[in-house]
Amino acid sequence: MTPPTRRETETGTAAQLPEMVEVSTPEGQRLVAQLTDEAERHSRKLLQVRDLSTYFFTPGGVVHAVDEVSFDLDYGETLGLVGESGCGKSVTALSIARLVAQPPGRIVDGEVIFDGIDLLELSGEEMRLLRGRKIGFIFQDPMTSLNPTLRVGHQISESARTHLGLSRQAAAARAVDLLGMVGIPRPRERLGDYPHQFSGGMRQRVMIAIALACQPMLLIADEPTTALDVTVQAQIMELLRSLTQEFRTAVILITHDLGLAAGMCQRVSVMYAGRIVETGLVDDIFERPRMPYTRALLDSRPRLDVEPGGRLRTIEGFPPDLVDPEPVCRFAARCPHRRDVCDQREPLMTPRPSHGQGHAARCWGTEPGGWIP
Amino acid sequence: MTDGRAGEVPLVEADGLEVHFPILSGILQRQRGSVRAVDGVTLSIERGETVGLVGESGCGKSTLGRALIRLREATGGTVRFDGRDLRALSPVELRRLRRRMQIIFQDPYGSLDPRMTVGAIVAEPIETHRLASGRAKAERVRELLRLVGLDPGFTARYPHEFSGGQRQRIGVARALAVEPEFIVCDEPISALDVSIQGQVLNLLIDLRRELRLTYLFIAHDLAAVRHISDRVGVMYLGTLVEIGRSSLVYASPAHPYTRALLSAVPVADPAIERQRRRVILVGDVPSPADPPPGCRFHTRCWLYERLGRPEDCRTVEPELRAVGDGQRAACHYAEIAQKSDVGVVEPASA
Repeated sequence: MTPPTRRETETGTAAQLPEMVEVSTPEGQRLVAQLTDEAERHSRKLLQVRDLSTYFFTPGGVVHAVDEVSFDLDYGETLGLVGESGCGKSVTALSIARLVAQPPGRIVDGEVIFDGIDLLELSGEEMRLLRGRKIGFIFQDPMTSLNPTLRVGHQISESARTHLGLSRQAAAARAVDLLGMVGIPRPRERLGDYPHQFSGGMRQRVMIAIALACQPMLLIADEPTTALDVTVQAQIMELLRSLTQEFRTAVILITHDLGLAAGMCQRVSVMYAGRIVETGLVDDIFERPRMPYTRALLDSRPRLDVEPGGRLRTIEGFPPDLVDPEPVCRFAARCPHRRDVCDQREPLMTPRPSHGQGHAARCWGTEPGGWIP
Repeated sequence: MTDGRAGEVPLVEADGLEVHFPILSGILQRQRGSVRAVDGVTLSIERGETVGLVGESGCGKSTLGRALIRLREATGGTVRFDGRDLRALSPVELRRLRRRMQIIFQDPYGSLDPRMTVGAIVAEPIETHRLASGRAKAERVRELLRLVGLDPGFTARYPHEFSGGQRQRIGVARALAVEPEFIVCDEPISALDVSIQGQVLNLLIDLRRELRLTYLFIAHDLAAVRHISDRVGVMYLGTLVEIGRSSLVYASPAHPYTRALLSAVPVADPAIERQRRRVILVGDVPSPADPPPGCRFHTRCWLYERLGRPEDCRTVEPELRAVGDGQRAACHYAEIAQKSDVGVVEPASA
């Protein structure tokens, strides 16, 4: 059993952690929880992802699904991770929670510092405890994460019993509270129902109840409303917004829908071909993007707030093959602003301070002295 | 298109169209009731026009689209294509008419036979309708692939070798193979990635102009529907609750449901999102086997609540009536709904 690794933070407060912490026991769990007191939280980030790389080892070659991804998340903050299918946004989230199927996947490099603990150093058992207790998950299709053979009440109270050590009765009462909180009518009567007896929107509410059962510090919501109607999406998003505000839960919202990110997130990171290509405050990303891919994503879709007319400006071509990608700009082949340098060297994420606080982009053309206005 | 009269008859006309599915139960499979998927829809589509159809899943929009080309048998009402009653046609006549109407499906993965080459997929309708053979057929297939923006050299490849967007193009090429006049586009872009959706929308718009096509464009993406449609219809629980020119329906929606739908659509502008007043519909769509009495929408209607639950909403089913220039809505209080500011997205001030 390896104790959780101590990490230096900017202020060094984490260095005051006791030497040995047994996180595999409930006592250890509670101890870890106590350690992260408010004062300490103010001085550091909830989550620091550093150079995270997750590869898939396939017969066709090594797929660089997530390639040196770095970002931070504050306590209580909502970050949007935006991009198209295959860009690595879901694999990033799965890597943070150590849920990548291995094989074929493997986290090959990086650090994931969650509330002072490097998750990549934890044992499987320690990670399992932390996942339900401190990191909640909501996936696109609730049917794949709910157990179809177990009653909904059991699935909700299981989490409360395992992680909070509640008695059977207390956990059942908590399940009723949670179902009511996520807006399921007559929660007491519905505890005994199976997942298939709920509609798509109601199932997603059940998932939210399970994810928030232990009031986690971080909620990872992976396309939580993609399978739902727009009216139900609005209900679910409103619910997520009010509950996460109430519990001060930080959220990573993974979505392909820029509109959803615009309404929910304080900051947005855009992913393309395994890389984060732009990150910044939500207004800066939408109003003055510094990466042509972000601009193209915004322009390629019809919008209700823009009068229709003419052809849509689409992004021609396809994302590159992520098997041993070339060290060039990965968007260059589809970029209307491409110049020779884009095909020769890959740009780094560099700050764009004149375009907003914390704004950074991976683009030669918008570097100081670049050619994109 | 053969005689002078044709220009006056709408290409597609549905009158009181019903598609009810029986609910059977027990060992004897007795009918216990019926799901009223489409429940009395009257709609006409002019030549060269694109009519968009929006609504939540289960509202009957796909079933309506299929019934218009008789891929689903209607259980009541009539459907006319170019003036001819589809339900009264003999199988031979129907087959002849089928050539003129086609459908593009949502799922570019499930709607193409994985064991057939792209060439064979696109050639199949040409063979079925005996339109060409031999070298002429092969040339036609290449021409179709070129038309939808695919490399004509792809004929020997299989569907799995293509991306979602390319597969949807193959589906479009197959639909175009028989030179149809009317195409039902059933959620043609919803399974595609954001950047690819725009490509397919552009393609459909180009083809419409080049080939003078008429579309019924079914989608739940309200912005995409506005982009491509001349008129838009809104469905709720098997009925059309509002229809009119897109510019009017989006700028001044007259049905509270249309307003609620619009208000739920996220807009990619954080400033607009922050100040938007959203009407959030409560609960789920009721079962189409047992729609609420009176106005079907009253159980979720924000205006009904706001007006103090008027009795007529619960007891009298509202008719689709004129509320503006060619705009019709099925709401007793459409004029009040129209004056509200709920749901309408103001374009961002420059």
